Amino acid sequence: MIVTLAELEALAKRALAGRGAPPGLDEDGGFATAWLESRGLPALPALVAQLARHPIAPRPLDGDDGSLDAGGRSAVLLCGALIDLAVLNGPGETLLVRNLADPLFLLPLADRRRRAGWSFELGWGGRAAACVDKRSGAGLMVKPDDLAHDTPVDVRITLHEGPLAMALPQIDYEAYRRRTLATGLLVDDLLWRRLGEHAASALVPATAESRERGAGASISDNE
Amino acid sequence: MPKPAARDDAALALRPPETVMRLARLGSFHQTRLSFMRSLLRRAVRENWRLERERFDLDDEGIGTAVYALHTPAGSVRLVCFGHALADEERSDRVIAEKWDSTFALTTADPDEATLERLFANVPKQEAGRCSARELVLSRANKSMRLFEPVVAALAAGRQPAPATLAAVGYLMRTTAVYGNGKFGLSDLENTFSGGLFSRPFEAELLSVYLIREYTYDLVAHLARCRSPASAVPLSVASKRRLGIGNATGLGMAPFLVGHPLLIGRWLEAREAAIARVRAAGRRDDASVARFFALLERAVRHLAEWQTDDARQSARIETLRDELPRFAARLTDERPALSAQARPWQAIADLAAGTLSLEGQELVNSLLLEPQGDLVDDLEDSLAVEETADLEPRMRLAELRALIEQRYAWALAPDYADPRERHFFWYVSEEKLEPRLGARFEEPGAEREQRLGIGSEVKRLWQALCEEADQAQPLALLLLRRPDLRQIARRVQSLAGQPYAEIRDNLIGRDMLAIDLLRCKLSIFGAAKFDPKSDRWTRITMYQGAPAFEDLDPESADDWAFPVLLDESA
Repeated sequence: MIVTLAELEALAKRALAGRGAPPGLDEDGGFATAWLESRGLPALPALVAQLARHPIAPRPLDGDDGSLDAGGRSAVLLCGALIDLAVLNGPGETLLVRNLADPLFLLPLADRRRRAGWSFELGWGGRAAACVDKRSGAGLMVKPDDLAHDTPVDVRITLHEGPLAMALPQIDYEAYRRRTLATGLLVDDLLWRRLGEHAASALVPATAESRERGAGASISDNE
Repeated sequence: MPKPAARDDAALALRPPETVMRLARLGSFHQTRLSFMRSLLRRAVRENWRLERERFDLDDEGIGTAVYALHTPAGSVRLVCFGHALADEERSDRVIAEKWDSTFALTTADPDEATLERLFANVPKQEAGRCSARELVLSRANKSMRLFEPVVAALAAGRQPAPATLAAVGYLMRTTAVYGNGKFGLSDLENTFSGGLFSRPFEAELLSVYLIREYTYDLVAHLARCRSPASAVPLSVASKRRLGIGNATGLGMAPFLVGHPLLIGRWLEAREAAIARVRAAGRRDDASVARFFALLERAVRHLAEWQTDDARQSARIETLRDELPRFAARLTDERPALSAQARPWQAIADLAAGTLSLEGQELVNSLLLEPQGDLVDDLEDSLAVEETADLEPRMRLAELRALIEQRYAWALAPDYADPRERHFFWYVSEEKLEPRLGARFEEPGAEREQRLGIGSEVKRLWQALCEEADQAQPLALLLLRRPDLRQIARRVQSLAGQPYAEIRDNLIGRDMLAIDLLRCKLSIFGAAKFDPKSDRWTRITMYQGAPAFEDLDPESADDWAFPVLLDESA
């Protein structure tokens, strides 16, 4: 099925809300899913897998100033909070997050912080991904063979002020995204259906009474 | 991306948000020259747009396909129209309807047979179909059963419909939804903007409505010709002007206003900046003064033609009919003195603020802008905004608390433990995702409410902040323990520099009238003739009084505020 980025973000957000994600975390998860998928980076499978878990709402994280233990939980819900903590740590400091699943979801939230003039260096599984200030001309860099991490890994998040130079192969993710915008996004039918099922949990079942009280009820339209 | 808001407005005295951002005032807004429909027609003339009817294959019942091509310097776009058979009992204005008299798509695709087949397989289904990224807008419309047939009958008989008949309804068809922005497979907004044709909010949607209006003219002329080829005549230019496009708008506008605070803040700030620029302007040429007085007189006559069965709106119109002529007479008496003042427009605005109802004040504000295009029209380029809100995780709790106490006094005042202050809940029904409003203590579903009660959410955040012993701790640490506060904390922070982004009333309180939210947004679009059918939906007229495409020129494109439809010279 071909969907738009607006549809993907809205349905992902609604699905997260429907499964009990707190407001704000649903927004982060929806935004991150659409951001990644628009660039050809896999997010929908991780999101749907996360939605199937129970409970979905995050528990408080354990850790001290320099490291946290995610306890195997997914960055689908923790992405915003973890990037916040990296900002809080300050430039040059590294936040170590142990046992974090789906670390790719950190990238969109890190990328969004570029507007503040920051860069993020993200590393996991012994490899590195980077989110680089556009002013450097480098753009986003992710190694495509380093994407699937549904099993928890240790993740390092380092904040830098200004552009960041890293020796990673560059892929033009923005061009991919522009193509996605122009053509729509091909998604797996089964995953999309599952997402819709979770999203339905956020909707209120229709009743005769709610229909009668809805906008436009009880008025003749043949006039 | 459009230009940012205009430059030297920082020195202007804009009306304070606590005055502007109240539901009662927002629900009293009228069209201004910055309204999106007005900007669109100015652009059409400025860029010398060309409209071509490429196809009109409709039978004598109006069933078939029509295609209109609009050619602009930035490229072409087409409105594809499908006419359908519809039984009277199937006609409904509600989102939950499944059939319509006509359905439409605005597309950038070439209208070859394959494209038309694809669109015909999907567009008539509306929400149940799928469009492609080449389609920008999806819409549908139903005939006005009061007016459509009488107009066809009159044209078939070789005469124009009586102006009073046209004015009483004001449209041949009314749309019941105009979708864009990535819904149902349509082009994402960023893709729409990247094409070069559109750069302003809802520009593609409101162009579609304008083109649908052209289709309705051709449709009634075609049906009249089919009925009586020898005698039929098309609608005259004057008749066309009297006909806009109707619209039935429900609660969906309300979540939009609350959910897009940066965008709304920009729109309202531009509107207020325009008013402030005019107020601050010194004496102008005689022509602009004369123009203002002429428009004031026209507005008085326009009010006589504004009809509604809604008791609340009727009373407001009655008040306007009483107060505006007296206001006009007083201004006329004082015209020499006003003209001599250093800031005559401010004197007029102040007099309105001191003597008129909210509807009257906002009507005068709209009129004040009309002759001042050179002063305010550049603001229409500042109406788009990147809607990204970031959390500032380093902010100390004490700082956030102070920010709330400074900016959200209106939100902290109510006692939300009082059932009257949380009487309503907003929700999305599983029935075609229709936005609805429920009574919290009477209807099921409150546990799935949309968080549109910003006031109560802000107070919940503020109470959580007050309970924290360590006020120096950064927000990020609190949110680790209280992730449920993330959304509202981010909102408060990101709107700190946006004075017009929040509606300063309790949107879940028992006294809240959703109709005010609808009117605010619709007036910004350029709608008129608000005709509420309940406290949660309204009919409106779009483009009524505006020139038809064939009639567009620099003068007509910008001279249709508060139209007088029964003026035989129109």
